Amino acid sequence: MIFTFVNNVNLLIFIECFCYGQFIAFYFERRKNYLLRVILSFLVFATLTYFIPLVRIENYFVDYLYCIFMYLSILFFTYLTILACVKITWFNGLFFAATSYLLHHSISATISLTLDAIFGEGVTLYNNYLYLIVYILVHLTLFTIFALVFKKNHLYSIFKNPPKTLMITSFVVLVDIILSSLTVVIGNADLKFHSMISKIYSIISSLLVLFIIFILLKQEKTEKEGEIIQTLYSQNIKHYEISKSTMATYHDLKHRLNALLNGKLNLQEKDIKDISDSVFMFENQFKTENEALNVLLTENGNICYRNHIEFNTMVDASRLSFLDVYDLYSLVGNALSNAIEATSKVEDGKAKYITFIVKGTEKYTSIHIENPFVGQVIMEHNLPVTNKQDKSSHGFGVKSMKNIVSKYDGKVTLTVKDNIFNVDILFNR
Amino acid sequence: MIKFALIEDDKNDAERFTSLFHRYCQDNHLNLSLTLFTCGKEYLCQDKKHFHVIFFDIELPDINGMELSKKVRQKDKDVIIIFLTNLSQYAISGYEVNALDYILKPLNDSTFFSKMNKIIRVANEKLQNDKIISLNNGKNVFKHSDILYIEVQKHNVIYHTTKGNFTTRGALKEIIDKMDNCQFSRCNYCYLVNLNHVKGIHKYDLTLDNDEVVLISRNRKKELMTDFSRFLGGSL
Repeated sequence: MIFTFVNNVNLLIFIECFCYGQFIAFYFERRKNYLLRVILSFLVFATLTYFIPLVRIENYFVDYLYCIFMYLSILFFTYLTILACVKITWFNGLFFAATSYLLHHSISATISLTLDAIFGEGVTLYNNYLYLIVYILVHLTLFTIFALVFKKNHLYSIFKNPPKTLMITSFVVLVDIILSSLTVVIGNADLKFHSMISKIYSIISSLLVLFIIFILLKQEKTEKEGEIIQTLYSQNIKHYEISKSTMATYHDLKHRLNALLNGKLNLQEKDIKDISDSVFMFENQFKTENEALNVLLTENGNICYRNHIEFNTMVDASRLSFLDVYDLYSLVGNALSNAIEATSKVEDGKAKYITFIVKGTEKYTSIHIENPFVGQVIMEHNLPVTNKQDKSSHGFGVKSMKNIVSKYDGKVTLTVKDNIFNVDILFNR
Repeated sequence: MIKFALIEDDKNDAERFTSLFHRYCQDNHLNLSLTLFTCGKEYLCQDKKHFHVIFFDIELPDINGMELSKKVRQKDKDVIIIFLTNLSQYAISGYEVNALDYILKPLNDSTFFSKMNKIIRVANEKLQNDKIISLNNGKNVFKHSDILYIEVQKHNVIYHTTKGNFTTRGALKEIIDKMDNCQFSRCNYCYLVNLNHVKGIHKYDLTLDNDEVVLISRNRKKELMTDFSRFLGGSL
């Protein structure tokens, strides 16, 4: 009897950890045959968990160590299922497995404490359907809240690459496991009070850790944004220096023009190049209300100029304020560098331009980028397949664009028409 | 016939434009008309002629091309506006008048031709919108652009328009063929919706600008969103 009961408990712990682990890993790049992997890894490790033998040799210390081993195995199995299903580094996988364990433990301890009080003595989720249903529902609700808070704060991008400090999670999980194992081994009726204290302790410590994770992630995010703003700022200084040098060029030009007027100088090709360069510098100053966008457009405008590409922009920058600086930078940066790469292959003298338009209606914002290209673009699963040698890096830009856009519930559409490549991004705001 | 207007004060630029324009017509066997204006006033004084596409030089002597285009846009929400400019930064606020694009001077042949292709495509769509549809032996007459959405029930086709609902006999297949190349999207097995009239798209339905709600079927949602985003971006 006790044998099956403990095995059921273990199975339940594994199922919870597995579900949380898979939910957290949801935003990672999936491995091939993802669904099959999820099902298979679940079946394999659930079976393994269920049949972890229960050793009771009436020696508290050995039992205690064995119990710790049991929980660590479940944690390890959760870790393996995450590794099996999504593309993730072993270090990050460990962090996610630990986080799922904490989520499982804090939430289920809270629920069982509350429900035990409500349902009374002897009623558990193993012998009462109502208990089981309420138990599952509360789990789902709490997880949804957790996920929503994450989504609302756009923490997933950082979450994917957690800072090293977050290893604290694994440590707390270890302590948690050691403590709860203690209550399992000595948890008989006389020690009920101790068991409750231990449960409350693990709830508080788990919540504290989750809270710390949250704070750390937010801090990390702010730091990353700070870095970008810093880069942008230093680029702005460069920008400013460019305009200063434009002034110098202007004076120099004026001087040469005067000399030319007075017949002291013959116009040479170099002079014409100087003139057109300085005109370009003046032309390539973007003054929209979005600083990040100005830097982006100036940067890409320079690249276009060097590649003899006409850069056409009509941008209502006020429409883009809802995007994080980080996201705006990589979204527009990716889109433009893809366009530049394709267009620079077009022969000089043929049509070489990039059109970048941001505009909106009352409810929608649209980003449109179009450019001519040479050769053929084959679309596979709505992603362009380039003729690049390196297959692994190709299309990465488009994928990350799609990821960013989907974070804001937007849509990316790529189409080819009359040898023009069109990117249309739609946001519902 | 698509009617073009060019408002350009510089004689050389105007000549260059005209010659490229005619070359484009010849190469593509198109019959397009082009009317030339040398200043903003000249354009504003004539009011009888209607144009489909107007090229505005931004640096005009009497009135800034951007200001002029705003006046034009107020009167005509369908006209296609293109800017011609020496400095690209002047055109950056072109979204204010919903300009289709701008072309940098001096004009480059290939770029001009490539952009003309798009202009002609969009202009043809607008022309289509002006076409008059006459149903039931001329009892019901409305413009293409008046159609909100088309519904098909068995052998009946119901045109839901801003002027009321009109029923005629027909099949979905022929309607789809007829509406091909227009800004319509099939949002449901039996509905063809005019994207020009779509105000908002929700999970399972969309709202038209007269606040009517049309259902979206699940398997067509993705395609509808694609169509809508291309429509807004101007590449549909």
